[in-house]
Amino acid sequence: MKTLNLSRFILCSLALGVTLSSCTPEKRAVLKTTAVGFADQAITALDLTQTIYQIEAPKQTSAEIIEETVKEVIAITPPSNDPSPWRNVQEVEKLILANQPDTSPSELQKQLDIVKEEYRTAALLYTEVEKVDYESKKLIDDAKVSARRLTLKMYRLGKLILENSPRPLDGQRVILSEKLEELDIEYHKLEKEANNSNISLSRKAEIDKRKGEIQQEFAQTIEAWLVLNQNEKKMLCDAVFQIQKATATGVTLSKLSDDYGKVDIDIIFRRLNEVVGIASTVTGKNYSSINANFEKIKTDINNDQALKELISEILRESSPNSSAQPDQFLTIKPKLDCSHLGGN
Amino acid sequence: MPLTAADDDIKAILSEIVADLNSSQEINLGMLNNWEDKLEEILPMFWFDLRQAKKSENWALVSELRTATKECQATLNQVRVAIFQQIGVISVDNSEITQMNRIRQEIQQAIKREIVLKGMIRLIAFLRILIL
Repeated sequence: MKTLNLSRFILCSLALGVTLSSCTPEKRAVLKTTAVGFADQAITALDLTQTIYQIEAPKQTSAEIIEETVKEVIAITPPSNDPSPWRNVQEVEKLILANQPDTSPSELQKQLDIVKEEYRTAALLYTEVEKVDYESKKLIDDAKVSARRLTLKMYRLGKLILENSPRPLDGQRVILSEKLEELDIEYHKLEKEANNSNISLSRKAEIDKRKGEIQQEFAQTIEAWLVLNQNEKKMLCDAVFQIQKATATGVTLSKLSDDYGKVDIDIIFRRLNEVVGIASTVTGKNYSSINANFEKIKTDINNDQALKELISEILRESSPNSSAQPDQFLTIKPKLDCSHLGGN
Repeated sequence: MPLTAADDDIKAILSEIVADLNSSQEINLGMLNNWEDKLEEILPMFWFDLRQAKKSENWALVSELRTATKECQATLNQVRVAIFQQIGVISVDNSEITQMNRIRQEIQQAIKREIVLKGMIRLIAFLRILIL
C-alpha cells in the first residue's frame, strides 16, 4: 500500500510538472509568427538598403556603349603586322568589355546578403522551438538574445540612413549636369556672336530664338533634377520606413519572448493587438510620422530592460574605453527629412 | 597627365582623407562617415570627366579615368562595409550566425529528448491505469 501511495505521488508530481511547463503551444505559435514576420520585414528592409547603397554609374544605352567601344578599339589598335595586337584575345576582350556596366555584386551587397541569412536563421530558431515542449522556456531565452541583437541592428541601420544617407542617383545627376554644361557653353557662344557688330539681322533673330530655346531646355533639365531629388528621397524614405517596421516587430518579439514563461496567452494576445496597432501605423506609410515612430520605438527599447542591457553590452564590446550611454546609441539626429513626401 | 578642371578639386578632397589617415587618431565612425561623403563627392566628378574624355576621344585619359573610377567605387564600398561593421549591422566574424546555429543544435537535441520523454509519459500513463 505504501509503495502504491509513493507511486501515486510521483505520478501526480510528474503530471503537475508537465502541466506547468507545457500547455503553451499557442504562445509558441504566436512567437513563431512574430519571429517569421520580423525576419520577412527585415529581409525586405535589407533588400531596399542594398538598392540605396548600389553604386550606379551614369546609364548608357547599349547602342551608345557599342559606338564608344568601336571608336576606342579602332583608335588604340593601329595597324601592325608584327606582332598583330589582335592575336592576344584576352587583351582584345578586355577592350571590348571595358565599357560594359559592372554588374558583379559589391562587397557591401555580399555582406548584406549574409545579414539577411542571420534574420532567416532567427526565424528558423523560433520555428523549431515551436516543436519543443518541456525545454522551450530555456531555448526561447537563448533565441531571444539573438532576436534582440538583430532588432538593434535594424534600429542602427535606420539611424545611419536618417543621419547620413547615401546618394544612389548621382550617376543620373552626372548626365543632367553634362546637359546643363552643354547648354551653358552654347548659350555663351551665341551671346558672344550676338555682340559682334557685323552680324546680320536675320542671324541675330536666329540667335535670339535659339537662346530662348536653350533657356527652356535649361529649365526642363533643372525640373528633371528636382524630380530626381524627389525620387531619391522616396527611395531612402521607403527603406527607412521598412526598417522602422521591422524594428517595431523586433521590439515586440523581445517583449513576447520575455512574457513567454510569465503570463497567460490572453496577455500575449492583448500585447500582440497593441503591436498590430503600431504596425498598422507604420504600414500606413505616413512619411511625416517617421521621426515620431522612431521616438516611440526608442521609448519602447528604453522600457525594455533586456534591450537596454544589451545596448550597454554592445557599447562595451565595440569600444571598451568609451563612456557612451545607451541613450547616445539610440538618439537619432536625422538629416533626411521624409515629412513633405506626404503619405497614402 | 592633367585630368580636367576637376583634377585639383579631387586632389584637395583626397588630401583631406590622407590627412585623416596620417593622424594618430583611431579610425572612428565620424571619420568613416566623412570619407564616405568625400568619396561620394569625387565619384561623380570622375564619371563626368570620363564621359568628357570619351567624347573628345582622348583614349589614354579614358583608360586612366576608368581605373580611377573603379578604384574610387571600390574604396567607397569598402568604407561603407567598415561603417556597417562599426555600427554592428555587419558582424565582423559571422559570430551571430555561429551563435544561432549553436542554439539550433540545442533545439534539435531537445526535440530528440522530448520524443523519448513523450514515449515515457505514454508508458507511465499506461502503468497508472494498471496500478489504479
